[in-house]
Amino acid sequence: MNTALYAVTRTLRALFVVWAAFTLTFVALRLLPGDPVALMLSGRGGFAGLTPQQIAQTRADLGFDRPLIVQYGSALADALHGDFGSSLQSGQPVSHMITEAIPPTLQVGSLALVLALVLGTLTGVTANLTASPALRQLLRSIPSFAVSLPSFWVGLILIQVLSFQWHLFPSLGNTGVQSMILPAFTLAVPGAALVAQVLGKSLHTTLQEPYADTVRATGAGRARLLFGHGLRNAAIPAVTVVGLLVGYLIGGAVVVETVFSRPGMGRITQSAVSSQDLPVVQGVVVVAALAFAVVNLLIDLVYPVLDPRIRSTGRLVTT
Amino acid sequence: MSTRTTGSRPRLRLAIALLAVVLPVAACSGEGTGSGGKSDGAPRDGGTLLVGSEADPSCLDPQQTGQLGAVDISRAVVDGLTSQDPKTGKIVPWLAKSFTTSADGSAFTFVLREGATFSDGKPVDGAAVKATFDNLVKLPANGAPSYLIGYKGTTVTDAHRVTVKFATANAQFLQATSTVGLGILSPSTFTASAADRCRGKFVGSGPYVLDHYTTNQEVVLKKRKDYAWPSSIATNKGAAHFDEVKFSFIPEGGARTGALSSGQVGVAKALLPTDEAQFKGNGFSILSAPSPGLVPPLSLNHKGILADFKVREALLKGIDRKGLVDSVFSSSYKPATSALSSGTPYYKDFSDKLRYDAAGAKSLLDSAGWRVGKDGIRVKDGKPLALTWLIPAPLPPVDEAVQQQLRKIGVDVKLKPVAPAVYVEQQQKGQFDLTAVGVTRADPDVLRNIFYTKGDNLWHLPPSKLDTYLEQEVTATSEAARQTAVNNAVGWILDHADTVPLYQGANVHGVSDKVKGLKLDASNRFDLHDAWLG
Repeated sequence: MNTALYAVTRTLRALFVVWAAFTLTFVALRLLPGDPVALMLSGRGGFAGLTPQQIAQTRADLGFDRPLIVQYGSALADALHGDFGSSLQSGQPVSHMITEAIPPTLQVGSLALVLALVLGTLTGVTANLTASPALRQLLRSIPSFAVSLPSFWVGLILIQVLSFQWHLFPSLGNTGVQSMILPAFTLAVPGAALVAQVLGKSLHTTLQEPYADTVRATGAGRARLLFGHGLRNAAIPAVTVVGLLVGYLIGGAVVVETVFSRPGMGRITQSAVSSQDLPVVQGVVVVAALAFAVVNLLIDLVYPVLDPRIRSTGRLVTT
Repeated sequence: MSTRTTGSRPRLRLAIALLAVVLPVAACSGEGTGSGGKSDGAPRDGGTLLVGSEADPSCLDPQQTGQLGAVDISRAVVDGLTSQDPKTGKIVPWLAKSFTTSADGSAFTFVLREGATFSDGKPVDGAAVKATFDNLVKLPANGAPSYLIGYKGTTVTDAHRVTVKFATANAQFLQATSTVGLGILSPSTFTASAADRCRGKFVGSGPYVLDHYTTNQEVVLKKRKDYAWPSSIATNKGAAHFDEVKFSFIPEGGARTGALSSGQVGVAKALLPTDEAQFKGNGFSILSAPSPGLVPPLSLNHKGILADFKVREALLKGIDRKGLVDSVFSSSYKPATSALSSGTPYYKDFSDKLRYDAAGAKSLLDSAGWRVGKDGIRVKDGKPLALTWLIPAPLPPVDEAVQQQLRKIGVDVKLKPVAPAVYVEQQQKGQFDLTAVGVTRADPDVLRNIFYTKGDNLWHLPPSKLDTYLEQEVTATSEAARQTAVNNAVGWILDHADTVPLYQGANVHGVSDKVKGLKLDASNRFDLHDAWLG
């Protein structure tokens, strides 16, 4: 299999993921009990004054009276043009709401990703670098502890201490880097733990491999062995983790944006789900799936660069 | 209009939103409105007031939404024809310097003051009043438009004199003109789309203009330097004192509390009852007022088990209202003393009919044939006395307290929290024994919204003399006649145990002592015009 074909199949697979997310969400949302139109009309203060004809008219205006398959077809066609309709609650175009919400989430998300990678790598490497078995043990157990901390709780503790008690960071809003640090750190904790765990394990394995003895025989120390050889070999699983992390960060945005009163994708998701605002939920899911698929596609395309064996076979060799 | 029950309870707020047509008109009893920030010293101009709000209302247009979160903001941008004195409940001049009602109660003439302008520079004149009302009636009649049911039109006599006509007597209209829903908007507003108006594209004549609205983050208001036409009861006759007011949306209750205690906001809205105590003193105070309107009750479906008067009466007697408030709420909340909250005009104390009497409740159930079974739950004809309580999720803590109280008299209340959309549907279909629908609206006409059998009648009430009382209430042309009709209606409702009032809701906000002179208006909205930073 050549590189071009490899890239094409991976791209098709990414597109399939996005389409499947769209379709599954569409079906799931339509299967949900409850009437979004009734909720929409009631949200503005009850529909005691509305006649059944008016409610039916609203439903028809929104296209909810058409057969499901027709609704699906037109929604898909519109979505391909980036049009997800308008929010049932605010009447705003969904595409506009999403483009407004992406930047703040992206800022915190990318900072969190960097933090997760840096902290995770540091912990993973240090756990294998140190000669002290006690410290090694401690560093190895931190990740499994950290990954079990609920983000909601981590966020509240951070905000309580660093914002309310010590006034080091603002607790709310979206004003500069200052306001991004606590949310990004909260989001980074489980991610860093994941990276540390995967990287730590894979480095540990590397150190046991026969070639490590060869390197050692040349008189190389633990550090040179790790940085010169181990890290490169441990990189593939770590890069795979980055793909997972992106999914993690998209989900974590809901919690973090609520705790830290930030605007973004998480907040619009939360309010859209609670008010069964179908067009918004649909748009959010597609955008999240798209982000996830694109990142994983990029990772797939990076593998061959990291590992020559993939370049020749088009297949990931697990070591 | 603002639809909600207790300030800290979004799910109940939704519950009412589900069916109420709501016109908050006045909180006029003695315990009326609270006053938070201390008003010592002379007012000082300048600065930014930071307010921590509980949610992004998603639509700010007062004609399209009555959510409290929205009208707290839009009230500062949009003036009314009239205002309402929070202490007396009286309707007083604002943009209209005088107003008269025709003898038959169906026509209202307003004489506008001179010199008031909208923030787009246009004058506040008769044409603007007509445009405001004419456009309001085009919207679905499920919010502020319901104030105008029976609207026959507005006649502009000259630039400063208009007459609004209705098909029949409309006892609530004059009070409705004091609400922000009927606030006067510049005609340029009506060229904007409904969605754009939600995002803040409406133009009023208020002391502030909308600077920007960022979804899920903030709304920032800037003062109008040339403002000089506040309501006749305002202390500040000129421009607002704050340069800027910033509402930040802080959904998490603890984060809102922390932001206030750490000085990151000056006002935190909708405090949780458990957080109130820490803001009494120590540089803070509580700004609170009871929510006027229909108190949050157990709303009873008169179909099924609850068709039996004796069972309904047993529920009425089986609730220990004081115990409920003491266990779940703070001192800002009070036990119900009527179907109406004490802050509602024409309220009368009916606490005699709401005494806790567990023994009486049990003997009523005995005589209705419900005998105590093995596990303490009553049984009749082999069926347990189980009642389904339909709740829009998530579950408020008070519901569990009510459940425990009723278990003591042998009633098994099954709590059924469902997604809001499902709630609307099942409530409409009558798939419940109990639910909780309170309505914030400072006018006794709220009784008609809920209990009139010719309305939605979600409770399947049989037609009765109550309908007559409710008709008398809305067409009354004298205060005495209206009072009699309201008393008769509430008396009937409680005598027939048509609802089980629980507690009086409240709006409770925490305020830093740096914020001076902050008050709530007659409908429990912030008055941002008179306050200042010390």
